[in-house]
Amino acid sequence: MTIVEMVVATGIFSVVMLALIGSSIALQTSFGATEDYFLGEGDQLRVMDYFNTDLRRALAVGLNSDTVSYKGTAYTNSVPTGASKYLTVVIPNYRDPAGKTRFPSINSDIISYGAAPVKVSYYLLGASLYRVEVDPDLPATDPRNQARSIADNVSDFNVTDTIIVNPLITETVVSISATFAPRYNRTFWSQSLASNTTNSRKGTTLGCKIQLRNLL
Amino acid sequence: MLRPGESGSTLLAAVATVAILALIAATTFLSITTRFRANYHTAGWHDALTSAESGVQYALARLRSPLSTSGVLTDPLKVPGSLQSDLASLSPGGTSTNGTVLSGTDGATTFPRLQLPTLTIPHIGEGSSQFTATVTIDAVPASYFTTSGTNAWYRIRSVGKVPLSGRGEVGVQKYDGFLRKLQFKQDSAGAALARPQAVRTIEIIAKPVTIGSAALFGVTGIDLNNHNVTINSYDSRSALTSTGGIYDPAKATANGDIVTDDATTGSGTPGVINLSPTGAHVYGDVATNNTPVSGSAANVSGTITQDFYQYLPPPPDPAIVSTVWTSISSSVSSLTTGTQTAPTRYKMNGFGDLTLSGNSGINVIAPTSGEGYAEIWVPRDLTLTGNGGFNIPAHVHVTFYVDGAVKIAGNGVVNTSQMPSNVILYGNHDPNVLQNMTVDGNGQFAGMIYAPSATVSVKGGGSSGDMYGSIFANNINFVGATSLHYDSAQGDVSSVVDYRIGSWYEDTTLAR
Repeated sequence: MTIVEMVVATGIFSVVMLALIGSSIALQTSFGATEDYFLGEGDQLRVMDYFNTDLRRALAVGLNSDTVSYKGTAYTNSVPTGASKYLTVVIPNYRDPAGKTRFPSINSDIISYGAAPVKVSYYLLGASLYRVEVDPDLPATDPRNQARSIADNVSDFNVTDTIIVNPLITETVVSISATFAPRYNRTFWSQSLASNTTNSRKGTTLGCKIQLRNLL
Repeated sequence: MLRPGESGSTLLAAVATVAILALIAATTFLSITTRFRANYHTAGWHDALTSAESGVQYALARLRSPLSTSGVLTDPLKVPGSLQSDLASLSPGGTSTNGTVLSGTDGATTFPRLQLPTLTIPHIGEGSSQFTATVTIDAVPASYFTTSGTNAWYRIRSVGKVPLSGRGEVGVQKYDGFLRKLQFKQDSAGAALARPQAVRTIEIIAKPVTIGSAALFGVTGIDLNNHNVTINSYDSRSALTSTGGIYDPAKATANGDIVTDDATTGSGTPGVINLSPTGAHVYGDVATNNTPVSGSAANVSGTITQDFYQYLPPPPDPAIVSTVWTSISSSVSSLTTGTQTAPTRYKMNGFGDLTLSGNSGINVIAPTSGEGYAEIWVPRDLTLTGNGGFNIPAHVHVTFYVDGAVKIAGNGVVNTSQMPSNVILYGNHDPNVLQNMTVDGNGQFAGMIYAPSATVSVKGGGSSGDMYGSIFANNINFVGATSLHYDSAQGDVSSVVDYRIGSWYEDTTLAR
């Protein structure tokens, strides 16, 4: 092999290797972005589904509070120190401690399941969104009464209807949104490296309107 | 020229490169497929709720169907084959044309439960082509009621199911499973599944809406054109909100709701609730369909909303209610009563008018014990003036069917018990007949007027010109210093015109 052949062969090899490495990096980047996209979408859908499910069946709603008032009684869930935002609702106590469905009692046209409702609170702690559901008929140590993370990359959530702070008598539709820290953002890639900037969260806010079925 | 040992190395290098790239691509596509399937299953989970809600609406439609049999207000318990009559009469294990009769239990209480035929919902697009909803209906047993009337409430439980496409795999996030509880291999009872499915269960309590569910209901509007008009409420069931079951001004409550569909009037314009420029006093909520209230709302204690609608069927046709009526004349002095299921029934003879004036009156005789019931059909006009009229003692329930004009003045109807639900005045069942009704003078009329095609005028005059009860009419006018006191209890004991969702709950504990 002459020196010329060696140079030509090395050049061709380098080009081929560059193409190979470039393709590999592009594929891995695409793979990572795809993975993050679906994980993010799954998180967003799940969080919205949780909010939807609980608000639809809510008997009363309290915003920015771990307490909600229902039929003159205040119901409070203890939220850990450091939690930055809350949403608390009470829902019918549909199942007894044995897991059996309850039949409702109707007193003066008021429908009740069980003696006291179940309290549900959402709160942000760090980057995780937690949900705690407390059934008053279960021991405090029961696993069903413990807080559980429902999404791990949440920056913020908002209930945008200010009417919700008043008694919900004139408005039965609530708008709610959640914002997520992006895992991958091509347009704002530099900002996405710096967490919690406005641009880093562009395009990751998801919202919906929910009809509160029990407050008609 | 290739040396020995160098042959094929380029090919191997190319194959290896392609293999590596293919491996990366395959991993990417596998990952995408898994994520896509997880999100696709989520869409199926959403569809399951739609299916369950469809089941609830289907059951509600079945409950509403017998409420206006033959086009007029009808007691659903008297319609053979209705859900209501089946649930009231069947025993567990019986048969019904509505579906399968099951046995519902709660503690020691056993009651019939109807399971409707499975509702299949065609679906066009991606995923399953057919959703299903399985619905069961119970009548809430009487032992679960306290001061909530005599009309039945119904529990509707609907299970929506949607088959899931693709392999049965849990989503990439464990959190998904906590919420959605998709069923891949077995259902919640442990039975093997042919294909994965999403299941969601909702339960609603259907609450009866009656002809006494509001103080005033004007289909085309309500005119309270005087600031001295007062609409408020009391509850004859409670000592806190009444005295001896009678309205007590010191215990008045604020449930005197006034509502309208604001349907178009004869002039083609939408009806309106007019509260007078200085504001009639309404101790309750005001609801219209879409039209803002007119006048001042300064004296409305409750809320004002514009999203109300309720269809009012025409009143019952007395000729259908019964074919046997005892003929009477206006000279009759007393009428006897029967039982709730077999009331005495009287029909005016001659031209069908009934006029009582001066001191002429008709006494309805109370039974020696229990409650007495009578029905009176006036095919033409009913005129009660001066001291002439009906004397209705306590424990007596009288239902009037009046096809013509109505004028009640003075002491036209003396309802001794002052319980509005004891006196019901039905207007003409033919919605094409224009009917006028007037209640005025110093009389203290206590009763419920249900005449969706009539114009009703209430004219106060003296210090005792109050009315107790409710008015459901086409158009309602209050003139002068007039008050209406609505009894919250009357909504529980009067005829049902509709069912509404009183409670809504999705059971996410374990979908069945």
